[in-house]
Amino acid sequence: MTQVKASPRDTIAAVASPPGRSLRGIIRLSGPETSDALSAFLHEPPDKAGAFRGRLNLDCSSLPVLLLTFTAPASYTGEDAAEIQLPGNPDLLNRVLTLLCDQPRVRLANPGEFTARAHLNGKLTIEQAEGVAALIAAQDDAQRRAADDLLKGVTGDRYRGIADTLAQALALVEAGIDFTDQEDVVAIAPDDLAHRIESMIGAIESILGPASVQAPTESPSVVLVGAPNTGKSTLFNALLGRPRAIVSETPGATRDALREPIELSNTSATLIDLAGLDSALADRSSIDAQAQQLAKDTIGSAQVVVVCDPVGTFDLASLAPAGSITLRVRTKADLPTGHDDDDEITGALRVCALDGWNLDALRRAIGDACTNASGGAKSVVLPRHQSALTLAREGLAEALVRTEPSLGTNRLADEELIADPLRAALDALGTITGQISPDDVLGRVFSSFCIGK
Amino acid sequence: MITEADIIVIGGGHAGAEAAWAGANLGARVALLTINPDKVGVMSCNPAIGGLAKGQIVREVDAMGGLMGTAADATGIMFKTLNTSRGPAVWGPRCQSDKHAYAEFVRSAIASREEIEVVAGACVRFLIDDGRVIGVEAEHEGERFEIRAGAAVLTTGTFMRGLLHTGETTTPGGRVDEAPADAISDELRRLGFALHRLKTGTPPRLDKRTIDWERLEIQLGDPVPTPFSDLSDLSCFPVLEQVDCRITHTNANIHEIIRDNLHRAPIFNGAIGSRGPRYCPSIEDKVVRFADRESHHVFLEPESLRENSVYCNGISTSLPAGVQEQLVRGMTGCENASIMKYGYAVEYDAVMSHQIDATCMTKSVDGLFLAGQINGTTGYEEAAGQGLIAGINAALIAQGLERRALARDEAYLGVMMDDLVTKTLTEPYRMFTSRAEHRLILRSDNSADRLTPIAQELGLICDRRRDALATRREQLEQINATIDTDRARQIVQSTFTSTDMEAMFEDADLPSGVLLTAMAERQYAGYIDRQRAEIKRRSECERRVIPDSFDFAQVRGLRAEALERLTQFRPASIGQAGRLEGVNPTDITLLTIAMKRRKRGGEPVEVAARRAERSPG
Repeated sequence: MTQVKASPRDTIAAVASPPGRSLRGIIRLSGPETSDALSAFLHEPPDKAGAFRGRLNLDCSSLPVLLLTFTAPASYTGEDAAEIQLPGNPDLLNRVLTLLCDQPRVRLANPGEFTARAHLNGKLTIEQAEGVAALIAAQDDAQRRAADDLLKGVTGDRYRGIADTLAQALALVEAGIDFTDQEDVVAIAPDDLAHRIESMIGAIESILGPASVQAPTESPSVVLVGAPNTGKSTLFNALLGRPRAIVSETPGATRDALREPIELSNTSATLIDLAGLDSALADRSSIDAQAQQLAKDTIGSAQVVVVCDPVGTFDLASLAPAGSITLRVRTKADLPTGHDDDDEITGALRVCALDGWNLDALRRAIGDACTNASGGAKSVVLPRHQSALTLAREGLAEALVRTEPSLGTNRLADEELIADPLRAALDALGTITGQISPDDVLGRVFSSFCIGK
Repeated sequence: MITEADIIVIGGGHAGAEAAWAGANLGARVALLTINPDKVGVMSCNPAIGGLAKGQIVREVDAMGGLMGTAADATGIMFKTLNTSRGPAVWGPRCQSDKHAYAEFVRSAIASREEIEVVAGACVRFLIDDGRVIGVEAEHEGERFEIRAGAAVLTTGTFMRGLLHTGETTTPGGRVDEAPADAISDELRRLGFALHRLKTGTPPRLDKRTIDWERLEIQLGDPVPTPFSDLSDLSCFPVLEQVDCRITHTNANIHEIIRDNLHRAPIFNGAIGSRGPRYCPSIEDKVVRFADRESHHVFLEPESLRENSVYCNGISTSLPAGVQEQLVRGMTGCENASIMKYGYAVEYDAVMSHQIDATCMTKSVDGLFLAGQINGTTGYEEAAGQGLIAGINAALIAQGLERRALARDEAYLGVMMDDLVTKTLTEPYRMFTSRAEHRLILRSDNSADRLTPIAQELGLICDRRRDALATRREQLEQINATIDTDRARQIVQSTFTSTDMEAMFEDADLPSGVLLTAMAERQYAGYIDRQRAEIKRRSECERRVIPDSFDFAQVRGLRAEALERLTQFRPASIGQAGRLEGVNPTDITLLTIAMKRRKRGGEPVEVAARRAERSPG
């Protein structure tokens, strides 16, 4: 297939229904050639917007379809557009799509292109467009709610609220610079300004969430915990799907945990085996306090703790830190124990690493646990917003440091150096909310104070 | 009578005088056409130069060889730098001048230049050939005459269809007892310019002998006055005797009188519909908008050493004469004051500023430049700044050279010009430091460092100024070297004041301006670096020029509002386009893509042909 240079003038087409077989499939078209493309293989193509029943000429057969047509600008994309609803057979959908894309100036849509056009044609704000993208990509409820907020403009309102407070604070600082010769202007007091800045920082941090404090690039760590000889190492190798690094034959010689990256169905993580440290951990009488502490630290910073226990008592489950997710695994499930019935009570997953029994289920469970542990919160804020908010927070924090009274007065010192980071913060927010110009800020000064000799 | 010049400057106010001066500095022969040559350089309103953000402009005009700084220094009767309790970036050098001495200084400076000939007359028509100005037709005492030139600078101030209001009385005029210029307004309309109507006002002038002067709170100038100009000789500065000002205030009684007479105030009874500046409201405006205030300060500022006229800063008004008397006499110390000249409001025509570019040249008529209040600004300094820009570029175009605009990161003048060509003014425009995003760099102390080299390259400045800059640079290097090597005496930045600095270098015999720059650059070091990085980041957008012939309608996907704005303003660069209201980042992306495509595809044939036709030779 030759790669044709994409142009925003092209008419684009794509299958809009989920992949796989379904009762009904949808093909969507948008662009100036929409009606020409349709008329190429429709009996009686409609000449106006609306819902129509029609028949599609396909090779030598004819197929009943439901057709929805829209004329610019009254469509999702703001262009001439159409939806063809037909039986949800993937082969059929592909054939129709291929036929459409054979029409002059019609091509396959790039991912997100319909929404991009809706934005370019002023049908969606950038936040709403991002909301659509986020909604499609959402993997859990928190993400879906966040995407929904974007779509409804709730997020934009929150950002605008902060930007408004910020513009007002900047106006009060600027008034103290540009209008000091004015009788009426009372420059904002340092503690008042500090209070406003702190509340803005608070508002931004509540949007960014605690996840933003973590390094977002670090993959979640999954630590295997268990007494010696509980099958951890075997499980470690089995989960990795390859032999782990060779361990010294002398027990306890390795003071480090084994760390290996692991690919799970929907995420990647770091799998940790406390190999050389488990005895230190299990044997409380061990004098090797340093090793014991290292083991505890490793567990303490893990997002997911997998407690391995062939017996099913899970004594060590108490080691898992409060913020982490604990998975209980009955290792060596091929061996009978006297506690089989307890598995339902403890919620333990029975796994046999030797024959791979339930290994896939464990991988899924670890994958889900990783996704949940990363809080979902991280992805609630879109990357573009996150960087803007982070920049705004930095500017505010810098201004806050400067917000001090000058010696012996209750007046701000260095207003111009407070205004500078405040302006930078406002500009950063402006990339999401739309820029607030110096004129807007001046307007706030004029409406707050009696300016003019 | 002169019949041919390189450039014609129409109007002799602060914009016109500066334009003529800059043109002469570039060696152009200048015809300065003005209705009344005796009124060149007149201060129509407050006889003060400089102030917050305006002081920076005066320093910039001076750094480029302009007239205003030296005129103010030679005629100042009270110098006071505002905002000195803040950092040096926002200091506002200001002086009050003897208004008669100031105008005389400007007139004699103009007269001293053999390149400039002052011609009495009102411009009635532009002579235009193939879209380019080739001269003007003027009228004087019923007689018409023509002057031919390669460019013209039009500075009409408040004279275009000027209408003065005092209570119910309206008089056509640009100033009291001076006839308006009506023909030029019609001529601009005929040429297709969109005009709008603006308003400004001025307070009554009192006779100082009738004020109980000594009873009032005193306001003094700086103990050691600072001159505006780098050329002013400190050994004989200040030149004139220094005076003090006094402060009085309005009160509830006065506000009551104003409220009772609002129906007689033209801005409230509907006689004036045009917008005045929000930052310079009349006293009737203040009383209405800030009704809860019982008092407003009024600064009493002597206007001249030669006469007793006192300017009442704070009570600009267009109320009837009788009401003005009641108002004035209600103020402490003014119980017996007599009014020498009543306050009035003036309405005038201005050209909507999207029709000029950043060199003050109109986009529709080559060689026609507009400067000052005609572009919707207010203030002597703003006018002088535009006069300088227009004068320089008129001379350049008349000499067949490339024009030169100043950028937002080079000067307040650049900020002002960029604002004028990217904003729709709804009130007269005045400069504030908050308009300049790079104000920590655009300081009054370093105006020569920023602009004198540019002026030198253009051929604007004299040897004295060039040498002064060279000396200044050496001194700066010397200071920085001393501070850097003398680690023991390094002082924490936040407590490092100009006094510390002066103490440190007291034996070095360095000018205070140089020390101030060295201090400011240390104090702002981190911020300046960040602003420079920001300037660099944006510079690509500023450099990306949108060709004159570019058809915005061809940009696919532009929202209707963005297309309308772009077509109306015809921004010169992607940077300017991005600053237009109603044009968002997505529009800029589409515009950039369209420009790239156009470049790849080459210019449309008809555009290339038009360009070839227009190019000289």
